[in-house]
Amino acid sequence: MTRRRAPYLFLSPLLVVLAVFFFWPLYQSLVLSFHTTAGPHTRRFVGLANYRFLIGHDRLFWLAVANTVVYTAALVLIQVPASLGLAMLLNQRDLRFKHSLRFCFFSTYLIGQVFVAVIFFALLGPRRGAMNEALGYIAGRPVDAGWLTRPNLALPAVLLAGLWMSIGYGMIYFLAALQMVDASLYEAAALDGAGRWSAFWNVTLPAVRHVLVFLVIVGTIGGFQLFELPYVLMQGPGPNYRALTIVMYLYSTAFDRGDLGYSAAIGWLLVLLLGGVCLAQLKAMGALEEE
Amino acid sequence: MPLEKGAGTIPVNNPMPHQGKPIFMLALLACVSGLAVLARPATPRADLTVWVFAEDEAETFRQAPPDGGISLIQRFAKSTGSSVQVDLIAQRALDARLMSLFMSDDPTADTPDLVEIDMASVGKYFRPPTGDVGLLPLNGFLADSKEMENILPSRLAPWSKGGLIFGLPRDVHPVTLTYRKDLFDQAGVDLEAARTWPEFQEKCLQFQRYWSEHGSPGRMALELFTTQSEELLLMLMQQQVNLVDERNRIELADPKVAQTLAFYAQLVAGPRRIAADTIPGTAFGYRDLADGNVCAMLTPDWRAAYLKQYAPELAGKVRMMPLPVFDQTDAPTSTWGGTMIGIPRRARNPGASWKLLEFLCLSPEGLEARRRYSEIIPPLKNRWNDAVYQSGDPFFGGQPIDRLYIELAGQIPTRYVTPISINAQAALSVVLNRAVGYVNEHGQENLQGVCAGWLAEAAAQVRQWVSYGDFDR
Repeated sequence: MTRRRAPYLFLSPLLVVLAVFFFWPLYQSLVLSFHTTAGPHTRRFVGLANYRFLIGHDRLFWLAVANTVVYTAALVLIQVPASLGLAMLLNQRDLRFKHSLRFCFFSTYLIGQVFVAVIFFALLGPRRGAMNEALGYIAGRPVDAGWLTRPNLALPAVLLAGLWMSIGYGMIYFLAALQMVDASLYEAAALDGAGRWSAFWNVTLPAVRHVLVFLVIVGTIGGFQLFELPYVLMQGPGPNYRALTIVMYLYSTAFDRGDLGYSAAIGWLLVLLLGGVCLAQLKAMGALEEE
Repeated sequence: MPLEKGAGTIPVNNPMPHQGKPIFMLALLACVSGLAVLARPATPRADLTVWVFAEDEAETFRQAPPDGGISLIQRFAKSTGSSVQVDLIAQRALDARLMSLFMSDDPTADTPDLVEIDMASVGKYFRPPTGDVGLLPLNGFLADSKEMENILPSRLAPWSKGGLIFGLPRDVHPVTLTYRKDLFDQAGVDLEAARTWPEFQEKCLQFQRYWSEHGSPGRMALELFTTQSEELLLMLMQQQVNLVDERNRIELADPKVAQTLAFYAQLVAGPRRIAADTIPGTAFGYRDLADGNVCAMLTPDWRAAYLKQYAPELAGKVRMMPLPVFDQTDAPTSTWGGTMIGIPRRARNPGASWKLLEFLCLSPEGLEARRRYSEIIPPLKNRWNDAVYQSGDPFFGGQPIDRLYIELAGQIPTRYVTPISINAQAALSVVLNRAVGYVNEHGQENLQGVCAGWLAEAAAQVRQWVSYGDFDR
């Protein structure tokens, strides 16, 4: 009897903390999303009106959704293959300095989004930015590409910073998976006449599939939660709101406009959106069937 | 190497060897540290607490004068017997804390007795009906104060709702134009001869042509934001246009807005472009002026102080002039930014809070201390003749810039801030970006008409926001 109860006993502190600091606020935020609030005495029940206004009338919300979806899709589509490619390169037996190289590529992930934004601000900034200086050196005249001021370049600038930070992170996971692949599988494939591409497609890819699914899901969640990077790099929503993300809009609605109910509704729509996208991804990749 | 028999398995007789000790130690540590925290003596709270986000404001209140003596808050404590604590809190943190205080309605919460609020943040505090605004109306206190008649009335508007004044203004922030006199003189352009914005643009084009032919093709005459509407708003206010007035009426569709927007768009884009963004970030923009990448900028008094701080090599090379106008009836200035200090409704002793507020912001001692840490012009008209504001400024080649600011201070347009102002400004920024794109692609043909259409759409959307979130209905 005691042994049966023991796990619950040990789990109970965490469950209490989760209940008080996670599930209760989560429930409260759901309740809040059906209200519009202003001041302590003014809390008006509006039913689904926050959601209706968001979906039906709020253009900035949809702009934020579009920016976030484009960023996330581009991030995942570029990051995952690039990480895999890098991992395969650094997994070669005869490569020199591979440990140092692995650390170099992974180290970009260790410094945090705010610092990455500061670095990219110095790289992409107008006039004195290293990128413009380099372009100007090549062109032989001052160049101002407007990375941070042209609407069309705002999201690519954020994406560039995001990729710089996350490719090394994905590489480490792929590297771990690649090192678990049984070398005899490659030998058998070679005996069967498989070329490099065929070996990659039939041996490597199935072996790292679980990591690939994990990185796609984690990348999607990270992409949808994007906040600090554009917030610091663009010092706001960017030119023409082209770097405005869903979480930035949520923050701005709550703390710049003071509409906590509306902002809670944005949060819950984000949860639904993210849940839907992740489920669709898991289904598309067949990960649910495996379970 | 083969493992020994039994290695890596848990002995049957002792299913959890030594697992209890670490858990016990963790629990013990948690209890001991918890008790230590609980037993810690509480820091005694001062009789009055002030929250500020501006460092110079904190220094004004806390620092003793350099020639000896005691600080403002010590002086207040000496004369009233009430101790004062000034907390310097980052602006975003202060905003978040204040908002949760106002929302929580918790009588035990640690409410400050005075709080500094920025103009960009104040709109949201006016969302509730007037009676529920988290700040205390100061009308009664001000009516009894002999300083009320000295406060510039237009400066009370941003801090008011429905005729109630919720904060004492700390500034006026009239806007001038600072330019690189050395570079304009070299180009043979007398910028101060330009009285209107179109004349100003012609002078700037002449300036850019000169420098393009003399080895600086990238040199721009003026700094203006190409994607944000803040400086466009300044031009609109010169013409007495607020995007949203004090009754939440949307002015975006006013013909003057389309006209000014179209003019502004061709200042920052297209073949007649005279303006560019500076590098974002407080210090970088002033470095652009120092490097001659842009050669003029709009300067409220707070920006003039930053200019001296971040571009000291410009000493003697810059001058200041009033803003050009669109029409003779326009103000030759505008107003950019601002802060107030107010009393939270739940302050422990509003009477004592007001006494402190009056002492810090309106007394001669308070104003003198303020001048030590900031060159910002006060909103008290009776102080504008003080000798300190009449002298020449060596940084500006001996030009008495404070006197210029003071001459313009009385002419600043009234600026209203409502909960919906932020939405209207966002909508204007979107239209500005569309207009800049239009100028880049199609030039100026039919620009004003196109802008008018976009502004009408934007106004309709902002009206939807008003009807949706208005608590005063």
